[in-house]
Amino acid sequence: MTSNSIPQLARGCRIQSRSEEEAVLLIPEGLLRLKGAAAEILALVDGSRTVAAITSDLQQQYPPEAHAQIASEVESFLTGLHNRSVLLFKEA
Amino acid sequence: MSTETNTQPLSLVCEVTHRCPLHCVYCSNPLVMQSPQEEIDTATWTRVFQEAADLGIVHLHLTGGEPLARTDLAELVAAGRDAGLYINMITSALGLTEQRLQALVDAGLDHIQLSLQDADEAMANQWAGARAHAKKLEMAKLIKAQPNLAFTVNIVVHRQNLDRLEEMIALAESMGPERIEIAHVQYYGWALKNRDALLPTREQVVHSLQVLEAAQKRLSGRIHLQAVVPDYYAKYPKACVGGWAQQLLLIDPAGRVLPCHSAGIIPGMVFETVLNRDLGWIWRESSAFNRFRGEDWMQEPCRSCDRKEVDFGGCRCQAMQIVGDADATDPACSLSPHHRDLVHIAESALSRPSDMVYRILGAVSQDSISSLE
Repeated sequence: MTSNSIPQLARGCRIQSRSEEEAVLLIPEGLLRLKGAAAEILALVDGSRTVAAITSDLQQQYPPEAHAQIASEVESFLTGLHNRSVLLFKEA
Repeated sequence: MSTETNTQPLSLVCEVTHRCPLHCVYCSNPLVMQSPQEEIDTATWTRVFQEAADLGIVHLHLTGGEPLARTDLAELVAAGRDAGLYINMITSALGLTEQRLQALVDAGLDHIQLSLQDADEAMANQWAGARAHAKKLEMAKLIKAQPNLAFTVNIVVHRQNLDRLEEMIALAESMGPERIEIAHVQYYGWALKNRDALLPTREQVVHSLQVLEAAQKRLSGRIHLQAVVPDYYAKYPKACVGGWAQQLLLIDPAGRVLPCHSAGIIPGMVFETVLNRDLGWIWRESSAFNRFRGEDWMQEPCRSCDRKEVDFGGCRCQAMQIVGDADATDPACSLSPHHRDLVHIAESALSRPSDMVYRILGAVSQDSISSLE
């Protein structure tokens, strides 16, 4: 993964809302409850935004002191999903 | 014994038929299978899927037998999706065609798991008891081309094929899945009959772990490779079905609801059917689901063990089969006083040549026998 990689959900992985408050990411071996950072990051995974764009979109919503943490959370979250074959990367 | 539960099941496994074109030597379905006449109909399954969704279940696993043996399979997939479930089908691909695959995908199939018996065609057909291998490879190409369907290849391993693990992983990789699952044979049902011929040696298992580790590194970021180690050689038992009546329900072709698919071997079990009862009631109230729910039933060494919430005492059916007591600690656990019995079984299984018995629907004994060693 580089900052120019464009993440998108792998086939057979989809987001489903379970109630007004809760959405889950359904994947072949289970589900991921989308709360907090996970929900915010995944909402920006649309098959056109790059990792850099997702990171900066999120950073704009928070004060500068949180920016470094946001960048590292985006990276670790997306890498984790990629390692489970839930997320694919294409290069911009 | 508790009659109330706060747990919420996540998975529903539906054996929609016991009919199967394969006759696998390692089939873990019960010895006595249900006939096509006993199978519950489309409308009943449709109601059950809604009851499952109401219970909070997320994943529906359509299996068998071979689920494709049911002509209403696409209707069942659509009914599951309508209920809001994630639909997985576990198949041999026998009975699949391009049209049928498309119909299943159009109905909302999310994930397909295709089994692979060996890297070598003649051997693969021998373990399956059918000429299935070439058809699987052909169907894999169609599955791979589906843009919205997740694809997993399941490799079933045992003593007769474990030495070809590297070749099997390479073949599975070429089929284009996102996931490869290596599953050691589980010795229940029919597979128990063939245990002496199928149980791998300790050396094979140790070597296979090295092969797995190398493959995991090589495939990292492309294919997620996961493996289930054989519990006869494990230090601690598997957390069977995620704990009895904690995560999963299984419905057999006639609509009987079980906490796991071999629970019928435990004496005194009474299974409710979806024809008479709501799935939620069965989950919460039925005697079968409450029999080993929680910790009250546990004996020592489980009762005072700090792993009791990790592996839940292991597998009740294995305790029944090996120890003769369904409440005992799973003998796969090195802390079990009966662990040496399991070790003895493994050692003696390897010391004598044995024949394999092929599974045929309806036949429980005197099947065709083929000598392998």
